[in-house]
Amino acid sequence: MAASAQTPAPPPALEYQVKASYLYNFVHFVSWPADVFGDDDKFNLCVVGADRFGNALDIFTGERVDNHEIIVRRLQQPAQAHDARCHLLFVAADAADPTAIASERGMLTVGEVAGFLEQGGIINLIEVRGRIRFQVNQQSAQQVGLIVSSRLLNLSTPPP
Amino acid sequence: MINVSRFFRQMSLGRKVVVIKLTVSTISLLLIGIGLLLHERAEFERQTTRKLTLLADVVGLNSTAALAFDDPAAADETLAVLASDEHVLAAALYEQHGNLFAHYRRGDITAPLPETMPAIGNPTFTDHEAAVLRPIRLKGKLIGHVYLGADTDEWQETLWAFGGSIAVLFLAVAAVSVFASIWLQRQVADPISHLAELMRRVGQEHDYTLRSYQRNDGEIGVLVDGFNNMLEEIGQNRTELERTRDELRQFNADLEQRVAERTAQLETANKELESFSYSVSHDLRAPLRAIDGFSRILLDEHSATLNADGRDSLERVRRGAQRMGLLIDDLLKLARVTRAEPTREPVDLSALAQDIVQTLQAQDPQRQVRFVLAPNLKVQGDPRLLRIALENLLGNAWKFTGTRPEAQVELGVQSNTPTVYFVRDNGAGFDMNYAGKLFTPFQRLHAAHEFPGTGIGLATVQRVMRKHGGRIWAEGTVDRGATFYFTLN
Repeated sequence: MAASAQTPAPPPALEYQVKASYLYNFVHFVSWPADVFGDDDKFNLCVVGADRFGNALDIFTGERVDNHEIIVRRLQQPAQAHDARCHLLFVAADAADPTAIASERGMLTVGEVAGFLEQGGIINLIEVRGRIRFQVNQQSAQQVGLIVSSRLLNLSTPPP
Repeated sequence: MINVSRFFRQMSLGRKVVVIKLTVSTISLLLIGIGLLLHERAEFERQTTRKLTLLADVVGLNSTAALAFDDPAAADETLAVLASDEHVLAAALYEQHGNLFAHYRRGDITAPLPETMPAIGNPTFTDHEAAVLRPIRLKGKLIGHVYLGADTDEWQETLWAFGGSIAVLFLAVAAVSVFASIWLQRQVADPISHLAELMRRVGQEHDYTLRSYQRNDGEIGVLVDGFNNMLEEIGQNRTELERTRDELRQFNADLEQRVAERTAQLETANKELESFSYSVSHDLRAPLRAIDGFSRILLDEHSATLNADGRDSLERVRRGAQRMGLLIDDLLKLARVTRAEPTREPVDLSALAQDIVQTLQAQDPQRQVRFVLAPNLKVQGDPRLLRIALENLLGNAWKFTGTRPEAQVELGVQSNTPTVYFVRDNGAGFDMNYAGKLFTPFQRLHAAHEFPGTGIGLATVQRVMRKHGGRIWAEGTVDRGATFYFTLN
């Protein structure tokens, strides 16, 4: 962290620029129950694991999603997600245990490793013929009170 | 334009009605058609815009995820739904930087869609195409555009249907016009034509017993009745006029005959009267000569045996006889003038007057009268008659200036064309109230003892002037003199 504060972060790889924008766009196609927002009304976009986004995520800080201001939070481990009241949790591939994520009400979990959906994850980013695509586990989403737009479902790659 | 208006004027009433009706109907239909067409076009554009906008927005909304997650294939699928609308020619999605992202083309369209977003108005209508370009937003953020182009075949269909309706309407109006004109022809034009023909016949044949026997109500009926009444009236007037004219002609002929008869009678009576007065005058002379002669002998040779009373009586007899002689002379002169047919030869009035003046002065050398005679008054006439006239006029002037110390008598020309001569004196004059009696025989305005005379002179003068085709009139004031004007033909 100290190093990154002193020297400008290198531009993120194209892959993570795309993934950052995907994370931001998922927010528009998923509905959260109203009661999961705290008194501050912030939308907490959390990242756990090695951060390869550079500043590609930070540019969304301050943007509003249905009047909820986005705050990007970087967590050391997934267990912190509950306290951080994450509404979206991205689990990087190199997180401690990228598939072992506890389901949290009102938390959209996004992963990037195979088997993420089977462990209760909701969206998993995959690569299909050189393009980033995604899979959705609608059942998991429903269990934590999230509604995924049919438009997003239409676009998703069918789960294995 | 002049030809057209003349052509129009020569048309029959029925045709005029058809032409007017068709023209008005055509213009009305055209105006209504244009108005409706403009309205239709506006409505079509409004509807098309609404439909295309709706369609584009739906497509755009359904493409937000594909755009957001960079999935052109999914977008192509979304656009392919447009095939269900046969009028959509092509559609395209452009991502936020304006590059072509996905597209759809109707089966028969081969032209490629532009790789970058076209800058077109929203909506855009060209000859055969309507197009809209709508923005695509995701939670308020612009993420791309959707272009949608459609054909305007519906408009062509509308146009054809519209043209057909107008044509049918026009035919209907034309048919109605023709029927109306036929009806009008029967109701109006035919009766009027009939009337015109009747008028022509009346004008040519002067037959005022002709009548129009047409049954019709309304204005035409009034016209026909009026025409019949007019003919009746004219016929009556004409008959009356002809009768009056005949009567007048007969009356005139009668009158002329009567005038001729009366004139002949008058002429005979006049001639008889003239010869009567002539012979009476002439025959009166012989006994008068006896009275005059023997009374003079009695006075010359036997005055010694008569006393003063006897001589006085005898003197009176003699004066009466002399006066009667003068009267007979004047009467004979008047009769001669009346009977004479005047000759026409050059006469010098000035010389004639000079001669008469010398005679007058010789008869009474005591009197001092100034004569002013205009020179060279040359006329055409009878010298004998003119001498009688001038003797009378100058003699009168001489006589009535008798009491004037500075008497003056003038002969001259008052004015020309026609030439008016005058004889003026400054003598006793006369009262203009009696001017009319001056030329009547035996009418005298002065007492005989004042100015002697027979009262025949001016009547004689008037006859002379009339014989010459002229006339005479007089002006005068009592004690201020008299002027006699006369003209000769």
